[in-house]
Amino acid sequence: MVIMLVQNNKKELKNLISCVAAVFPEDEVVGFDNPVRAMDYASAHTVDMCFADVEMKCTSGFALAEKLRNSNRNIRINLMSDVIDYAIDAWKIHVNDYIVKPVTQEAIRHTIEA
Amino acid sequence: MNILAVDDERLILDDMKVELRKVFENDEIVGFEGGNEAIDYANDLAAHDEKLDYAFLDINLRGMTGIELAKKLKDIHHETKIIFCTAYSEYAYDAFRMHAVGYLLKPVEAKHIIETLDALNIDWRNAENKLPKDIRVQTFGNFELFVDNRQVSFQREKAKELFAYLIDRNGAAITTGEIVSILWEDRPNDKTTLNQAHTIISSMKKTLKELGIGNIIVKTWNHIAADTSKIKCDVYDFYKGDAIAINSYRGEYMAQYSWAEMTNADLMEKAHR
Repeated sequence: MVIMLVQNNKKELKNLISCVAAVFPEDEVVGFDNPVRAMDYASAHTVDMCFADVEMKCTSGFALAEKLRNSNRNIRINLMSDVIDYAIDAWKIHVNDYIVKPVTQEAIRHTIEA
Repeated sequence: MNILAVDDERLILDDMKVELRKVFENDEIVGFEGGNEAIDYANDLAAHDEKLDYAFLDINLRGMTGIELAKKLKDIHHETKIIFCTAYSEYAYDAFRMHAVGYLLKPVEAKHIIETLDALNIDWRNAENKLPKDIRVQTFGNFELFVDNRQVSFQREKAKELFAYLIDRNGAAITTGEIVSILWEDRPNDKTTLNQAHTIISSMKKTLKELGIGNIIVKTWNHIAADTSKIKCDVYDFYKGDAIAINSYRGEYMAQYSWAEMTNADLMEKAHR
């Protein structure tokens, strides 16, 4: 499985990579601090799961999520935010989960429990 | 599939059931105004080894919230997919946390339900009937049901007899009281016997569901019927004047059941004309 992480803040991205890698030790984890690069990657590779920040420069997590969904209907998309306010919008585009930061290993496990 | 809808406002619940019926044409849709009744229903399904496939829940219920209700339902049926239907957006995050699969803002329309189910990436439309099954009923001689040319064994003899009676009634709806008088000729129509009749109905439906042909039984409140348009059957062909069916009749019709004698008398008269 290929898991893609998209997060503008480099420090948060690094923390996220280590959390996800700890939960999925056997899978390939790719991180991007730029959503445009992430999209480029997704159009050339099959991505099975994505964790994307809602508030990013250039592109919002919502726009990215919709593009990813269009390129792969089976992708599991999890959005992350500092606040719960965007959860209703996340439902409208049918993402799989919405996580309030900070993202912990426990939060990631909870996401995949369903 | 079994589908549950809960809303404490009667009119909204009725609308919801109408929209759900547009989406799930052949499935069982049950609605309640209260959370406790919904839990009783879920327990009842579990007791009969049946799944609760989808639960469409209002959040602002009297007595308990829809979120609490969802958790209780999940404790009974882990695999149930929960879709919240509410006028408010404030529970959107809680809904994610408890692994709901959808969050619809009222008024809920069939197209929104379909969008949500499509996004689940499961073949929800064909969850039961992956392929149209070949359903054939033999009534001449002994009664038997064949699905894709394999003889079906019912878990209970009376469940088989009930199915035979529904075939005999040719799509007409029958009441639980009628079932009692057919299956237990000499017993009174009391609570114990009615309960047994319900057990037999569940057992029959379970057998048919497991074969992926649950939708040949049509159930409305207190009535059940067979959807004869989905069934090939020698006696139906006989009445249509089909020569092969007429020739295959040898004077015996559902020979193991005494109530079948009336139809048999009619068949005999027509065969000798």
